[in-house]
Amino acid sequence: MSLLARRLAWQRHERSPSRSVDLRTTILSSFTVHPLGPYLGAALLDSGWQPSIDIAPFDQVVQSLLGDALGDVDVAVVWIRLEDLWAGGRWPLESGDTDGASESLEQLAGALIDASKTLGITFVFVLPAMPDLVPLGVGDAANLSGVAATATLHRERFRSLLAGQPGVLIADGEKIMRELGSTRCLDQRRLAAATIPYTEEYFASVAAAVARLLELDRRGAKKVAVVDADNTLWGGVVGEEGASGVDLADQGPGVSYRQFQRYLLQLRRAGTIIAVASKNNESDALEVFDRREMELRVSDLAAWRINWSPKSSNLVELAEELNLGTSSMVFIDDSPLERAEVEAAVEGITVLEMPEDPAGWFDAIVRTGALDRLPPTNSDLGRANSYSEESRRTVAKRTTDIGSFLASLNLEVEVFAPTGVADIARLAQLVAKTNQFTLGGPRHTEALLSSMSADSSTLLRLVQAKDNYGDYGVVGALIITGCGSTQPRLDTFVLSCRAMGRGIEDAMLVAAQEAAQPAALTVVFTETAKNRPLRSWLHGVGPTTPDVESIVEPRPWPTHVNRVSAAAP
Amino acid sequence: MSLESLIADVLAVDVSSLSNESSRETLSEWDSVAHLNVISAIEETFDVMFSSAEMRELSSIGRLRAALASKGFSG
Repeated sequence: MSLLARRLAWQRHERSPSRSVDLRTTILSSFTVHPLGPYLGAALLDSGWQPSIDIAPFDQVVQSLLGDALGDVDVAVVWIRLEDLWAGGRWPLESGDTDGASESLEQLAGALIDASKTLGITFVFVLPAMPDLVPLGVGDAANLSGVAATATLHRERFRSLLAGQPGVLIADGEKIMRELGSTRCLDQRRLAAATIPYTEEYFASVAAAVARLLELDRRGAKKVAVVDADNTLWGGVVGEEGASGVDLADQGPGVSYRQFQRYLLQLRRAGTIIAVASKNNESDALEVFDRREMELRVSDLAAWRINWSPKSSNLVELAEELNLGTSSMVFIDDSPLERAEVEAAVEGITVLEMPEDPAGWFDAIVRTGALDRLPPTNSDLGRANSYSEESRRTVAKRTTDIGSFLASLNLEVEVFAPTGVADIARLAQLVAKTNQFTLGGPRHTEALLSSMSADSSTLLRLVQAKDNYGDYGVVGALIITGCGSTQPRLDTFVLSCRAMGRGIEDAMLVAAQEAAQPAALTVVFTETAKNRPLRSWLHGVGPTTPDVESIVEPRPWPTHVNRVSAAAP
Repeated sequence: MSLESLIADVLAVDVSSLSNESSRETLSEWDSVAHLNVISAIEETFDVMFSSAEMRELSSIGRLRAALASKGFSG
């Protein structure tokens, strides 16, 4: 299907009034990224999802990550160009040229990590391709502050910050560009005319990679590679040429068979199960595995079926023995006949098309992506022992990262009592409109709030905040009932979602506890369809059971939040 | 494929509603995002390349048709 046909097919699907949506996807970018939408939609559709695709406001990646744009999203694709990251300063030539860009990079990555923790959505970060604008040309290679050196540094910084973060996947824009060639990916005309830096082909390939990552993340990788033996693991037919006669030479086709075996071994290390299905006498085939030149050993195989039965029935048997579905299997065989038999008879199995020349196998298999995996976890690697220590270290590192990110915000929070009609109106609006960060109790009307403000046992507070990203205005509100009694209760606690996840909520809680003193503050929360952000935060500070009155232990004012006192009236 | 029916497909409008005078000014569906879709669709279908200036200026069916004619196409 041509790229145009693919785009039009998605457009038609998107306009269909009866379509349902089970994967709400948003794309955030530093450039005009609209062309990615149709390909991503089509690729996700091919993978069995019912996606919707939205594009976040142009070049507002950090703002969108920190704002409320992602509240109802399942997947967010974040794609910036290094060219755009560097746009605020000088093009890399001397040391110091990209100091500002480095700061922006840290902030962007921090905002992404922060959003992934707060919102519980899956992020796919497109690790940006190396820029093509290299004024020094061949001379750039020896410049430690040059384009290639800086681009590599920044790419690796992104990778080290984001790799392994829960809910964050990484697609490598450079790898895709290398495969296609940069002249097929970059389009200066479109960049000039519409800030679209890339060709349709590049957008389509990035979309395919993003969709594949989501598949791997949400459905898992294929678990088993089932390989044929004759003319697949070695050259020739062992039944005719004998174990010592098959080709495993270190020149010619034998090299390719052995390279293929090394590839299988590497997959096995990462957790893929390797099995063999071969039409042979079992003893003949197994004898070849004893040859010194074999990379793959019998002990590397989880199971095998080496007999004269149809391959399809052997594959079904292998699936049963391994206790896996045939849909988690990938079948690799040099014979088109065997492949067709298996494809027709084994449900859900992935059958790879193999070129005739074994020298082309590795490329053919890798390009299908059928055996792609996400990076192995420690348990995949069979290193359960080192896991706990490693995970402790990771947790400590993350805390530092978030802490320094929060500190860099220079967040100022002011908690104040509403004093006039306008304040009460804002309070009523916050109570009425907040869905994510709310206790889930009744939403008081403006009239009721007005009368509550006159009641001395009820305390109403508004919260305003600003930081380096801007002035958020009045974003939060809290109400405590039963002040002065032995059981003061947090009746209302709301924070606009664009201000969540920075510690404003922690500051608000401390302010509420101070108001309740000397008694301990109690709280009841209710589960609603949308207030998961409130609940996950609240679990962190104590209360975990809904609809039950719990005491919130006293907490200190968050250190990264500057407390601003209300101006004297 | 005629120029009109291609543009009708891209803009998801009825082909009979299009004429030589149809343009970004006359059609609400032909917004800035759709315009690049139109340009890309024509480039791919007719195997032509527009300059960055043409990409901006060719914002009516008449102008697109004239530009294609100058590149050796009639349709």
